[in-house]
Amino acid sequence: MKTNILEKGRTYNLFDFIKIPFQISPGFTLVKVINQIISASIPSIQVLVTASFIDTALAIFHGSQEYNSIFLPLTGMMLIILYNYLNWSFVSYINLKLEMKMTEIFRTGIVEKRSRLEYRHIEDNDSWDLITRTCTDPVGKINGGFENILGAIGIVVRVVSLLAILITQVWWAALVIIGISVPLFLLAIKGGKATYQANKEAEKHTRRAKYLHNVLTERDNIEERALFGYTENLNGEWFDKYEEARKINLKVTLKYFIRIKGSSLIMVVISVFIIGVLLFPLSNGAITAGMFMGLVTATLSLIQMMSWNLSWITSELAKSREYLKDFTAFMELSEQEGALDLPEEMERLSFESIEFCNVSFRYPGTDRDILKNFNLKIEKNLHYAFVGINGAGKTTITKLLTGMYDNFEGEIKINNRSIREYKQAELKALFSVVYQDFAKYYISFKENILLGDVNHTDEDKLGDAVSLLELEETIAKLPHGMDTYLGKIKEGGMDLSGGEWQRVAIARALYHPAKIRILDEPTAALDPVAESNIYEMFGKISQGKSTIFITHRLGAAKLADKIVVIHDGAVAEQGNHDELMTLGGIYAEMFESQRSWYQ
Amino acid sequence: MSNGKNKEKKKYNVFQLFFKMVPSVFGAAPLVSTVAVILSIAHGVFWGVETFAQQKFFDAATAFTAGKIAMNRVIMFLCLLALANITCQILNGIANYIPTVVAEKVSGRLSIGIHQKIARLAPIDFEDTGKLDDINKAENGKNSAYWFAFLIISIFTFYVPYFAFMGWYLFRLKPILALTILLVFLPTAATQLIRTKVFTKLEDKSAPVRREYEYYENCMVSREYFKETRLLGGFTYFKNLFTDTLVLLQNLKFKATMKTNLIELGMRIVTVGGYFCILYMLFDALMKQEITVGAFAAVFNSLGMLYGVMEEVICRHIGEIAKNLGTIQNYLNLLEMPERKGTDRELPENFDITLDHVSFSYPGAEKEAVKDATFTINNGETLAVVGENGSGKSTIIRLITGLYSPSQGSVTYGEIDTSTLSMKSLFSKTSAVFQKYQRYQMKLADNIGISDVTFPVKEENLDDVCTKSGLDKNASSFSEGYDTMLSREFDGVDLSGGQWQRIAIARGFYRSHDLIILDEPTAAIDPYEETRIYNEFAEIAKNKTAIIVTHRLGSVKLADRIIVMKDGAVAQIGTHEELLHTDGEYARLYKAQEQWYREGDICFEP
Repeated sequence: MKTNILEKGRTYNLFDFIKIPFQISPGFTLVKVINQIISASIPSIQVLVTASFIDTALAIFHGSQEYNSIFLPLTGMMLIILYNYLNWSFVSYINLKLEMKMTEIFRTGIVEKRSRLEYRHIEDNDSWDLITRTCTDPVGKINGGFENILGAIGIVVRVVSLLAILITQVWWAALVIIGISVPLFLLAIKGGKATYQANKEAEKHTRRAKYLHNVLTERDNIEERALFGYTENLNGEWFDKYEEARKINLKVTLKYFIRIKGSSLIMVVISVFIIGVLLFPLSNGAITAGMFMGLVTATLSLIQMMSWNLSWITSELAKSREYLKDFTAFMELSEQEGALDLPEEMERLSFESIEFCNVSFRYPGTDRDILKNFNLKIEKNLHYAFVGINGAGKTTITKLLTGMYDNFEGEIKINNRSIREYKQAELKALFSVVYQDFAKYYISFKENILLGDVNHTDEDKLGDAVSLLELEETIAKLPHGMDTYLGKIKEGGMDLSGGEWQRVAIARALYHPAKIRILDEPTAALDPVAESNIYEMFGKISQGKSTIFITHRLGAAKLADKIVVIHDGAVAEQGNHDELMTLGGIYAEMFESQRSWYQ
Repeated sequence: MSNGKNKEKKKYNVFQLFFKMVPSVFGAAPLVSTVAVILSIAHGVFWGVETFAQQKFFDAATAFTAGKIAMNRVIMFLCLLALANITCQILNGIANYIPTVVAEKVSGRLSIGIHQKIARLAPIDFEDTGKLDDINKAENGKNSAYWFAFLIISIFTFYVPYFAFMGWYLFRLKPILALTILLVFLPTAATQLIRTKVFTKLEDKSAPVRREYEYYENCMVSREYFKETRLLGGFTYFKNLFTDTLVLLQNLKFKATMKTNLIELGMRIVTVGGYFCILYMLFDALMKQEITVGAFAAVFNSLGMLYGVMEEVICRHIGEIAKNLGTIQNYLNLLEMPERKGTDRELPENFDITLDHVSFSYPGAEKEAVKDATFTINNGETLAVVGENGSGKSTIIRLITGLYSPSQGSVTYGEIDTSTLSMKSLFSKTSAVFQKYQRYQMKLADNIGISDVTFPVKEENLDDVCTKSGLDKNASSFSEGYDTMLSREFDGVDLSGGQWQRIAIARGFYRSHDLIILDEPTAAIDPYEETRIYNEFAEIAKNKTAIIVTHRLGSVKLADRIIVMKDGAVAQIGTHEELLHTDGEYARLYKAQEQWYREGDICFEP
């Protein structure tokens, strides 16, 4: 990756639409620009050739030239036709090549940038929206911007080259055209912006209508929609929103058309004026009949082009500019140092203890403290259970430990060293986590588990993980055993049941050489038997390791050496099951409440 | 459905489509549409007239240079040319504006129709992947359908008049020149035909690779995978997969595009050949002085436009339609989809619900999700349905409520077979809190009140159900009480999972009902709340028929009877006490959970 293409801390502008492709493939970019300039000057060349053809023909009729002299301009006309039609193939080849290179370098660069982002940008809805907007078809957006700029260059070249011819014929007519088309051009640019603004206004209603439409049509809502029968009511509401957006759009579109066609009409008037003026040099022979016809045609064809192409390109350029704003902001997003590093070799790390000292934390952009003066010491080779009601901050602790967030107050020390001094690679090696929403990787069964330790492949350990989680039966049922692809991405991929996926995820954690294993509420959606099995399996994999088990099912917490009751972002109680039951606090109350079901 | 049958249906429908669409286009805006048709014809003709005016002007100019006519006569022709041009521009503006206006208007009306149609479908249709595809794509298809109809109309009202005028004009100049139209048409049409074929093939080949490539990208950057991939250090692994598939995809694309480019180059050479033919005919006519220099220049200039318009209609428009034909088909399929029929009938005051040998399988599934279920739910009874995941709990609930009709057997409310009732009558006395309850991005009041839209939302009703479901409207998260918008996207607030769950429960209570279902809605609620909600539910359900679905067996003791599902069949029915003392599925499930709460120690040994 050439680092200078994706730069942080600068504002991207329209020029970058050329600069970026140029840096990636100077040759193709240059060829495209040159080709565009040639293509754009063709209409003017055509004026000259047609003029010469007609003049020659007229001369032949008058007998002042030989019949054969017509073939030179005729060949010229043929060459122009040939170029117009066959150049397309050349351009599309260049486009293809350029797009491939862009995808290879630019899109990959964007993916890398995205992967390096600080985790908070992923969880924050605003920055996530920005990321999604920027990273959806980035090559298409840059190429589109490039094409728009080429289009603008094309218009300029076309007008300028025509003016150049005009200047050689009647210089002041050229000045008149410049004098009038510059303000028209500016008007078009301004119009493009206004349209963009108005679209944003309508966008609010459109979004609401779109949402209601989804409620009215999506599969997700079918049960409530059928049972509650709210279609008629929502349909009315939907229509109101739709109409509001439509009416705004209607006005905008009308203005847009009036502007375009208004400027076209002005162009017609100017053209006719110029043509009228050209009649004088025509009458005194200062310009030939052929040149006259050529100029008339070229001027008239400018009308149609100036009206549609110009306004289209200006509004597209306005959109491209918006993209650049997003792109600049995206490039500004902070990155996590060492985000892509492989985990450190385990032998170099040891684990003694983790200590939370007065840790307070709130998610960026929110005003609620998730953790408040949180104090806790976690020692090696002990099993911990974190319990507490929803929203008490249990899962947040995992995110702090794994270095996803570091904007907490207070201090977290691992082995008496601040967690902020640890490299990402070290944290990656220390912890393995089975998340509540663990990842189902649609790669082969084997790779799913091997991902637990990207530094080594150890067949024995793999076998152990498989047998400990009783996955043999699952493997036996797969057509290619452990090499079978899971999920529906690869052809012939097989899907697993929810419980099987869960065991694969735990097997992955087991294969991980981490010193500390964290299991984050993995049983919420499981049936009782499966839940029970998971508890037992986790018991197995915990041996000889330090574990943290986050749960609100208290039965399983009983197994832990130490239960930590988290309430309102702080440690409310800690101790083993018996101690906490004796204490008669929150834990005892919760446990009794759950136990009462089974008495 | 066999392929052949499918294709047959498609062809039939495309014609039908046009006749179906035309009334809705004209119906939405009759006056505007009629005016548009007339103006469109004028628009087509005037493009031709412009060429004609150009020729006349050029002829006049030539005559003027030869000193044959006076300046004011040339200026008159110039004015005619200007007039033709101005008319053209104005008509062009109107002809482009009106369809967009009508399109949005028609689109709104058709959407209303889609929404209504979807409401009349049987809910089971959403489990049928084929039908679901039609439903999901109908919205886009609807717009394509409009543009399809519009294109057909404009072919007759714009393109045909234009080409007819040009043909007539060229014929007048010299009969053989009328061939021009054909020479323009044939290569363009052939190119399009071949292009469509090759591209479809390319898409078929590269679609799976692209899916793979995008998936690996997601493994690195999507929300779903981000934290886990980062923590595992899996970036390099996925980056390699990503790069490998990218190379594969690029190669495929390169080969296919090069192939199409070469073919297209060939076709373009043919086009140029045609162009040269026309040029030769013009040249020949000019040199023989059969046509004037002005005519030559005007026709030669209009050739670019002739090709451009032909390409526009054949490649852009028809190509676009061909691409969207699939979604148009989806739209039509939706319109023609059979609806859930049934009669409106008042349900009796009190009724038992009887399932008689009910079996059910999902569309396309070989296995029956519910097998031969027979039992009766007594009026006013509280029933619990338990079982492992995938045992058919949710399906049997859908059969009891009538959301699904049985494949075999019958479900009757009193004497009435539920499959004969209209959905309105069937659901008139039923409410439910579903497992997949909705988080409506609406105001709090609407979020609850949406379950019963037969009367306007009343505050005291809301207060009542909020108390019952433990929802505190004065909590800090509801800054504007019942008017709080529950969505960040629409400038409102975000709620926690627990709060949403309570809203869903309040919603279920809000709807007036004699039968209420509670389908495992407590997964995200902590144990404290869970006990409370079940107790509250039992309280509310006292005089009504209630069904609780759960896999937390502790909470089902409050039910009068328990139904145990296993592999789609009813394994056991009885009270908690009875089942606990029978050696069976229930006892097994119960023990698995209960052991964790037993007095004394549990050993935690492998």
